[in-house]
Amino acid sequence: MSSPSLTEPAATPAFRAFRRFSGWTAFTFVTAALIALPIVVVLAYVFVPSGGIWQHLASTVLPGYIATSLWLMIGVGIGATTIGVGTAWLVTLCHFPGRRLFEWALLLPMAIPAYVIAYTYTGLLDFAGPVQTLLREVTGWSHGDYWYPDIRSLPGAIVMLTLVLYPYVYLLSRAAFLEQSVCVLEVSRTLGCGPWRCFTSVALPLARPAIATGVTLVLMETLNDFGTVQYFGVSSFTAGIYRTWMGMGEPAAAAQLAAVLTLFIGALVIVERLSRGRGRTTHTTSKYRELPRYHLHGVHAVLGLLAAALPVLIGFVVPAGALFTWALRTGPRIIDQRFYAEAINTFILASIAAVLAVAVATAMAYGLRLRRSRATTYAARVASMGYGVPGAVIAVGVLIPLAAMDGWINDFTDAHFGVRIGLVLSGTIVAVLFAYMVRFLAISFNAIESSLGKITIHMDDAARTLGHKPLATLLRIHLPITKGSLLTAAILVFVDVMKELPATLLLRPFNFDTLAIRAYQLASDERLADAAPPSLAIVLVGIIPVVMLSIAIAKSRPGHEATEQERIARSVADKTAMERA
Amino acid sequence: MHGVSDVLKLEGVTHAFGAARVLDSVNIDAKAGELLCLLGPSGCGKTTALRLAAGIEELQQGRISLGGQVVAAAGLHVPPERRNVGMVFQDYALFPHLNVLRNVQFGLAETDAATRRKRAFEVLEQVGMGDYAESYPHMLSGGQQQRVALARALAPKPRVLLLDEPFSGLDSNLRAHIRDETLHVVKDSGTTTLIVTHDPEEAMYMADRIVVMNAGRVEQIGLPDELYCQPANAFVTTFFSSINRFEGTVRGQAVASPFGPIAAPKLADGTRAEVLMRPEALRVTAMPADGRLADGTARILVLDARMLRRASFLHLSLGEFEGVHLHFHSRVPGRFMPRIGDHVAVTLDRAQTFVFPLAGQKA
Repeated sequence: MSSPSLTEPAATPAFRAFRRFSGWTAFTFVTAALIALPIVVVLAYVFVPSGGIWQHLASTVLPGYIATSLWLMIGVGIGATTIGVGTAWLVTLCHFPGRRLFEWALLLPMAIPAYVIAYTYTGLLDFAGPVQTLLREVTGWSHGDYWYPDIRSLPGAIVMLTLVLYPYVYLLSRAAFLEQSVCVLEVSRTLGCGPWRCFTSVALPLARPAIATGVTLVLMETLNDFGTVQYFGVSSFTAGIYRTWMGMGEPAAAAQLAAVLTLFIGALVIVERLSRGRGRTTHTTSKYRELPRYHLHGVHAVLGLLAAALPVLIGFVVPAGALFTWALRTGPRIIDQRFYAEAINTFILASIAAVLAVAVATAMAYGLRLRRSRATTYAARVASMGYGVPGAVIAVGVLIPLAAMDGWINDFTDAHFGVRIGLVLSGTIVAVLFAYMVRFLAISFNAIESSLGKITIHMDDAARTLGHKPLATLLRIHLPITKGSLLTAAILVFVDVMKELPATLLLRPFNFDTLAIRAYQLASDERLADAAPPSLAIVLVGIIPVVMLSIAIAKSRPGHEATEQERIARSVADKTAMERA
Repeated sequence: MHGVSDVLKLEGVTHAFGAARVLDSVNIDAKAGELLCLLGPSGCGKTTALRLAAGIEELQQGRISLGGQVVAAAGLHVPPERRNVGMVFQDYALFPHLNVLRNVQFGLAETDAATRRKRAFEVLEQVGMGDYAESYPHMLSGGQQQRVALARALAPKPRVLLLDEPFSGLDSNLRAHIRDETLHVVKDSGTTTLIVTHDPEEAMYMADRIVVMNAGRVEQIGLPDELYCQPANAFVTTFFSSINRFEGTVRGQAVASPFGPIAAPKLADGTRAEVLMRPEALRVTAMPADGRLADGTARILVLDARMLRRASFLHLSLGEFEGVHLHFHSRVPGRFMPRIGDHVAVTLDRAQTFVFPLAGQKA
């Protein structure tokens, strides 16, 4: 008898007939269909013949794209897992000076988009940069006298992506370590496990699903990355899609590349599912206390400190410091009318996207709450799947149908009114916002759905029996109660939109630049120091969710009641959209 | 349509969640001003019946009417917001972001703020929570939250008040007190009320009539003392108290027992029957000094005796009877503590002894 509203009753035919198709349900289906559209379009191109282009691509560049993307995934996967899991274990179960600080500081690199860190390290490490200049001054060498690794290479891209993506693994594995019952760890210690065996034979296997989810997220972000690989001239899929479309002017072939990449991601999701395995990792007890920590002393303490400090230094302090120094120098010149216009564009775009994402996600999550059936659940899952799809793919999938629709609209107005009204959908802000919805709706949906899930269904029932319709119930009960989570969801989408590069680059209206686009353009022109002010602006805004997370982490001690902050932490962790989907 | 007709009526209501049928042709009716209890073990369908009446759950089969007006039937579903029912939930479901006053005002449709405020204070005074109007739910104790939930449900003057296990969240000392308070508030308001509970004592304390449910079916409907003293079947009998039980075969319209034959006038000879005796049906006295027992009195061994608050509780061994070892319990008011191993004289109160055919046999 418990929670009957969550199950689909087996209705008799006479009654099924009157189960009205509510507007909420319709909304869920329409949203799911719209979100799925670009992905379906891209996948459909697998079957569209494109003449010789595809054969040409398949025989020339495609094997290279696949190999490069695989190497990227392997490299970044190993790097992010090692750093993420290692630092998580270190700060969760060891005691060393500065542990508290590193607990949250280790998240900071998350604030920096991969392309920004790539520009920054290129500026620092290339021939004219401070590092090589210093080297030459100290040694007296000149050009060609010494070997120096080229940052603009596949290994360079792996390092850059690892530096900014490891926090996903850190975040999820730290949460998993914290959730492990102290009893399990104490039992293993009484059974004679030292710290190392505790880690490898108890903590690590128990945390494996969380780690797998974190790594999957990292790999998706790796495949999504466009700015770094494009700038480093690393021929991965996203760079290839861009080149095929913009360079060769072959949208159909670009779509086919995008389809292959999408299948890649589908395979990734399946592997993650399978990797969870059959072993149960649910916790058998629920006793949580402050975890007993291993106290590190002397050399060990120094090593621990170093291990925790290095990712923060290299992943955040050095690049942010460099950006700040350059921005001080170039700011007065770069920050002009145009910069402000771009900042305003960015703000408007990100705000509209955030409000839209939260509104759509709220309506969908509430519709699901009102009437959950297999069909609506599936529709919601479809609507959340865009998060796994790279921005470049989405851009291709959005532009093709919208351009076609613009063609029909213009044919229609031409035939009936004798005017062609020009591009209404493609090449306008509509296309960009649509792409953002496809990619980021999952973030807001997961945050909002989990926060709605914490409100007992009896609240709805009480409001309804007290004479309020579903919409009034949503406005008067759910929205006020969940407003914190709604704001969090909006901020997350805002920041992600602000950082987004490939979809914006491919879909933005003519002469409509954002800060990310400006940084990209300046960097492409090798004006790396000039790219610092817009980059720094993006990083500064990107710090907001990291700060929210940090506060949450500082407050989320095991054994404490769930707080508002923890809810934020969870909804941020709910960027693990695919995990649900 | 109004008037003497039932205020709430469920007719032939059948409901299933997936393959599990939770209600099976249930008929329930509540008359104006009546306090009706749905009583049964968890999973018997009582809460589903309540939710169907409120309109929170959509009816699958049958018919539900409120005040003579059909609100749910084939092709018809009046949503909860248009049924004018008040509901109190097990967890109270007070809106955490609204203070007590605004919680109570939530269901008031009057446009005039002053009228709403006046009505809200009126019901808050009724439940003794007038001083807490500005408090927020998390600042209140469980009992206070329950009162506010009741006030919130009563404020719009509902046609029917529905209470879903309203006291189960309270600790046992408080429960009796709040139960009594709720009974008076509800009765004073004159509202027709349906209470769902799994506690027979609670049902007997509150109800004008009780509907006993089991596995989706109505087992018996009646006054509390009818159900206790004239239960319709073994389920109803055992649900109201712990029970002493043995089986026998009907011969000459009676079943043999250690206390002599027990009448079973409605059962045919040869029927296997079960005999159910409430613990207080075994009247225990000290053995007479001369050791002579009247007819129908048995000499029985005491295995243990314990004081359980107001009564003494005895474990009695009746030895072998028709091949089965019988171990009975008896409840004797006040202090009656025979020594373990002693014998006592026991007679049977036939009014609290019931004979039913064993399952699968006709009466």
